[in-house]
Amino acid sequence: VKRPFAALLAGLLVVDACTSAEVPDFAPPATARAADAAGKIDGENLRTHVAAIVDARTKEQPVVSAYSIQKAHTHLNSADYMIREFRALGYVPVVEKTSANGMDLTTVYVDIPGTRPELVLLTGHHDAWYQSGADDNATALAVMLEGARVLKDTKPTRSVRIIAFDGEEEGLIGAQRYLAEHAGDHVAMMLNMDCVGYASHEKGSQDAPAGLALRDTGDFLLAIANEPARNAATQVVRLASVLPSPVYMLGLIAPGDGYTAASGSFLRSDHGPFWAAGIPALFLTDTADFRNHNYHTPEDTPEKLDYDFLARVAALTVGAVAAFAESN
Amino acid sequence: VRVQTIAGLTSAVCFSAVGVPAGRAWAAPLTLPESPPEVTKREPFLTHEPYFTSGFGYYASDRRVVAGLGGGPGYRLNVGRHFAAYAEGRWLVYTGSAFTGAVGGMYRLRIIESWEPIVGVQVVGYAGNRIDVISSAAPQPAPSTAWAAQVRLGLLRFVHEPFTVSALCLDWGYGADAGTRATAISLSLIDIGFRL
Repeated sequence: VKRPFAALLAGLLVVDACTSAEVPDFAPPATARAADAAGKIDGENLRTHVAAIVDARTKEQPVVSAYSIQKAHTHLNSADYMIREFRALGYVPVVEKTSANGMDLTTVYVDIPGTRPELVLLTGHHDAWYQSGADDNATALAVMLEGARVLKDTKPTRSVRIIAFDGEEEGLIGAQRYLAEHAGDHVAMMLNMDCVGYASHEKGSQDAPAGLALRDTGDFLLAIANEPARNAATQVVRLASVLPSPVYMLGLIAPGDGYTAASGSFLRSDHGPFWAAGIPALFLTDTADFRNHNYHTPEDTPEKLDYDFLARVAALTVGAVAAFAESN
Repeated sequence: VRVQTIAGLTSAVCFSAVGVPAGRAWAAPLTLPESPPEVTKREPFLTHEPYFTSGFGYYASDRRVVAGLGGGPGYRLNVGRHFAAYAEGRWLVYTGSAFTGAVGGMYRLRIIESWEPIVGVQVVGYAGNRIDVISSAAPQPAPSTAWAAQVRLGLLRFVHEPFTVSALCLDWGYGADAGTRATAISLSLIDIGFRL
């Protein structure tokens, strides 16, 4: 009786060992790049950008779209702000316009050329419900602008593209159109941000989708990965611990391309079309309405954000982009 | 005469009681009919019972979530009147496509007629798709297989030879998943077996 049992146990241990291969960290040069980029993030710049973007939205007449007749949508002044700020940093932004739901949508991006054509994408949407959208998604735009400042002229191995999509709130239209028009690009990694500046240190402040056990204090950054980004998720979570300004992270890795019956909550931003195309993508978020009760309301205003948390998230995100741009 | 008559009546009553016509009782030899052969059918000590099971499965720890609805085949070896050993597999769909395999033993309570509730214990393994959970404290994804020990309780189980039908059979227990505790629950909506 003992022998078959021992053989079964040994077999199970072998299976476990084979299926849990250690994921390597970023190589030392990539980690050094990440630390260097992360150390240059300026928290005051983030605060200034968030305030300015929300202020620009208050000067825009919101429109009610065919997609959602209950919420007013703003997107024009945020696109102008991104174009203006990219130019101020010395970039020549590419502006792509498309039309959907009776609106002209504007996607804006800039490139940091690398020695190889494959791309690392840093993305977020610039449109918002109502005239506020501080957490959703001025925070991501602020990180993108700060990343553009820090990574400019770094001459990475892979090229870095920083994209502000339009039409996310209208059903991910901007990302879908962009992906269709850039189908030939080789995207090595995508980091998409949506709501990255709200934190709470109170116990019980964090909810989770049904069946998932997340930390119950809303003080962490969540990275959601599809299967091709499995190792990348592990690397980013580890990187978050070793940077000078660490941020606590949780990561969820959805199987396959991420499109399972259980992953509806994982697909709520512009990485969705990229997952469907099999592109490795990480979705970075403060979990939106699972933590922030101002989400998608006019109350999503700048004074409700945690700017220390946002600065740590920015350091990690820009550092991770720098590391992926140096990875093979 | 009087005595004989009384004796005859007494005999007639006695013979009538065993089914012999009273009128002929006095003359007939005293022979009782043979009792019919006993017809008790003995159950075989071992019976084989393939079955199909369907229902929900859920396994959650700080390191993974596996959940789904599905079904699969099973095989039960009934031993004597009360014991059974079984092995079953299920294909679950929700967090992707997951597979579970269980082996266990159970005690069958024969309470009345066809009602046969069961209690048992099993070891269950989980493989295939799942949602991995990693964190700054544990950044490495957990191994792809996970295990749990469960108690099985099936109150709504009925036998109508050669068929068995069970509904709402609950499996509940715990597992150890990469150093964290896991909760493992499954609920069979229905399983149908056929005793060979």
